[in-house]
Amino acid sequence: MSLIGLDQVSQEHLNAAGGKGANLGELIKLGFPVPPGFIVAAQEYAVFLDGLNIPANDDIPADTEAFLADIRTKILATPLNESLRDEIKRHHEILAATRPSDLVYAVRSSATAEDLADASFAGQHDTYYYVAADRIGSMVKKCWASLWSNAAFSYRHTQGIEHRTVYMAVVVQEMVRSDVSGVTFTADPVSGNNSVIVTESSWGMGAAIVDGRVSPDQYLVDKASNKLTSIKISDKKFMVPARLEPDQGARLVEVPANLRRIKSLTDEQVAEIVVLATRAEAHFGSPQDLEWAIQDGQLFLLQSRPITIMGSAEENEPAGRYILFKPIAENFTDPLMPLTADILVDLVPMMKVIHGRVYINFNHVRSLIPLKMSDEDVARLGYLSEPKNQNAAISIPRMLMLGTVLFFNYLVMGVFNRRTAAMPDDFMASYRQYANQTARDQTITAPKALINLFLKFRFFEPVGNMVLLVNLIAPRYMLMLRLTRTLLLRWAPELSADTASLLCSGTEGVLSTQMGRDILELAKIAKQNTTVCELLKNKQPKDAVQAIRDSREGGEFITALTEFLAMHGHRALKEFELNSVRWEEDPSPVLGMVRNYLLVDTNLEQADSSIKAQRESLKQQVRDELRALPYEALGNPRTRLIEALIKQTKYYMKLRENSRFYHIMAFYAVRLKILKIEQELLSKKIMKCKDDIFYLRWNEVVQLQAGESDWTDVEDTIRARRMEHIRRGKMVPPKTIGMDIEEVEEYDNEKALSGQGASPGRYEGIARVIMDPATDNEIEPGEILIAPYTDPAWTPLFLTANAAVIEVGSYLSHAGTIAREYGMPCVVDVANCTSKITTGTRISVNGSNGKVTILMQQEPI
Amino acid sequence: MILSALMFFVGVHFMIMLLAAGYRITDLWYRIGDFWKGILARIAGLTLLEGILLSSLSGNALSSFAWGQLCYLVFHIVIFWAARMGIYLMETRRR
Repeated sequence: MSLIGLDQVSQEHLNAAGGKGANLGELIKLGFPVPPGFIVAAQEYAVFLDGLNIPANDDIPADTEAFLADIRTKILATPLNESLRDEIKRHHEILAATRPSDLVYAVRSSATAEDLADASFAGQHDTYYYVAADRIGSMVKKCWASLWSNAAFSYRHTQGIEHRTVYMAVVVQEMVRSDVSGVTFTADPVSGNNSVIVTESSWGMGAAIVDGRVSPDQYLVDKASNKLTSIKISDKKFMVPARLEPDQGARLVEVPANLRRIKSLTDEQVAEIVVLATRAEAHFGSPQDLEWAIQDGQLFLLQSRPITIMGSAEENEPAGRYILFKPIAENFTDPLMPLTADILVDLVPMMKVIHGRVYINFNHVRSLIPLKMSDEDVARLGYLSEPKNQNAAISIPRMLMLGTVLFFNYLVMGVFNRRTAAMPDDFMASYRQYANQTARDQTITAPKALINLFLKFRFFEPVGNMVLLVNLIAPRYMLMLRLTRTLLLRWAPELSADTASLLCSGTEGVLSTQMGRDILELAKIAKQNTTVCELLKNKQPKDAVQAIRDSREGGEFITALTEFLAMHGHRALKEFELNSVRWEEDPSPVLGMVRNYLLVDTNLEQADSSIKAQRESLKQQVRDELRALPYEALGNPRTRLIEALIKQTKYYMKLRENSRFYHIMAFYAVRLKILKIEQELLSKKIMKCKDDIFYLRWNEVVQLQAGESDWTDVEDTIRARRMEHIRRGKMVPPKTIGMDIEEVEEYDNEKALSGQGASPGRYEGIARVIMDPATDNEIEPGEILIAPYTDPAWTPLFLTANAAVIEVGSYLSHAGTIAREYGMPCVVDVANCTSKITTGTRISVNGSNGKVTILMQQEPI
Repeated sequence: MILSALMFFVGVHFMIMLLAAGYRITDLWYRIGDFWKGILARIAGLTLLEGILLSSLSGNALSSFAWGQLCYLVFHIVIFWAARMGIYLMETRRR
């Protein structure tokens, strides 16, 4: 029998139906709602392949790529036998008699070694959607050919599976035209935690999720209680629609703006899916990975197979010892895209990108620590944790080594240090022109542009064009701040320990702070115009821009927005990532923040002047305290010294933040070059999808441009790297590589969390957990912002919040700097705060000692 | 010996300040109309100080101070080209 009805097979028919087909048959028998269809049995493939003379593993030629291409060509060129074609037609007619007139099929590979507990073959073999009845035969052959793709061949080779023993059945199934689709795991596929059920969903067909082209919504359900414990709503930018327009070339389309940031499943639908998943797991006896779809409110199960727990992080680790150095790691909270990593990797010799994260060479750090410390303690210092041995002795040889390095640094950077002292606020403004010029110059490649903008200076170049070096020298303010704090503690012990930090905040001319104020100005302009205000409040940001442009009254706002983007348009969320869309390209996030101001009613100017008044009063207190000291009457030497130190500290703090504002322009310049190449490759049809270029390495992009390779050479690579990128994003990066270090306990207990105080002060209030300001930026005045990390895109939220607790970061981080400027308490480096604290929980934040206390926990959703 | 070493490093530091003062012309060229007085004053002040030091020092102290300045000037130029060479090698390796 060459064709079998899906409802006639079960797990006993693995050899005929393949893994997927057998599983689907089993599910139908158990009463699961599986779409109807039939299977082209694996024996048909065996007969078909008989004439192709496939050699055994040992006899496969060295040039496997050519060998595999040859097999694929033969399969596609050989016609199906007539009896099989007739059988397919007959089965279609039987099915069509009971189905809607626009019946189309999903044609799915079902290899005989597929979906087994120890080898899932996930994504290795092809599936085709929207297949009309007359094209089933050719798609069946394509599925057979996919058994001989480079990726599938290599996977079998790695798993030690003899190629000739794997046969391919093909499932031909009615295609569910899904409104919503997704996947459900009956255990967390990253951690292996089997007490939760993880469901990911998005709009349209499931291919967008399975291929990793969309960030799906995520629902976590506690298996024991069946309670929904967490919902993460993502910005679902793309979807594969259930119906294709007649002239629609690309299957990936943009999700309508009103659907992007709303839940794609109701709580009832989640519950229904969980019931199915639990039943499937109980029947198959192991954690399952289910694919499902919902059409017109009806849930269909498309697949259930054993979960393959994601690979260990230790795979593909380089030799040597590496650590995550916190001040760097906090800027790279997500794994880097392969192209970004490839372009960045050569920039700093000590740096290495592992698992998409930026690590530094431990041995280099080790040699610079002048103390007799264990490797473990040095690693802890790198991650800004307390070393186990607090009283390490000085190591003379290392001290000499450090002294030599510092002296060399003084010689190399001496002139540069002096050049950056006492410069006017706008001295780096020329960098914008330099970056724009580099972006436009077609003779400069993307990696070369980054090197030019960061490292390659001409002899008489103005110091304003050397922004990366400015950024590297600016942290000297830490030493000045420490000295100020020590002197104040000695001379004015009556004052609070936070005095130095408070006096050193409130610097004029910090561009990140200015950005928040500029957004506030935009909101003020919007508020004055009812039409603009209503459009911003009621429309999605992307639609709002066009609507305001089209309206008669929007002129002033659009002019102000254009001016804002001319100044800040190079900024974005995760701005070190070349893949990040800049505000100039898509100002929606800016409008989202403006909208946020329109929705809340708070007098921010009053708050600002009150903070200024507090600083002035504190300054006077310091003067009064110091005046009483001996010899102070002789020209106020102590007061002058303290004021000079504060001035210098504020100057270098500003330098650090502003140099970052400018050096981000270099990343934008490089991004513009990559986008230009992408446009060229897309127009020549060498690339098929936007953003795929970021999954390539630079030399692969160059080969595509030069015509030395084409889409078929990179397609599998892009897919594999996309899935790997998703996997990396879900993993917590190890703090050390090549070292066995005991993890530090980051918090004391469930009620008291510890971190690092980044901005002094105490505040008690209601927590608001925000994971992504682009998708969720509504925070009520007086609430406490709880965030995984921050960068300039988060700045406006600091204007509304009264305190902040951040998962990563240090005193120097963006969150700390901005919080000090706005005079609000901030604790950074609070491990797992976004999961330990839920929105609505009452907490107290002490930015002076880095403590966060949960006063009244809000129950999970 | 100690005085010589000290004067050598004073010479080094002095050259750092002189070079930085000179670079200020290019660094602030975009607003030279606003800053020219300050730049000139700085350069003139350092030149005057240099003159005072050169005329008041003698023997080993004078030669150490001068050597310190000269050595740093050479170092400053060499390190610039060494960095360029390093970057060139980095780019070559990538190619």
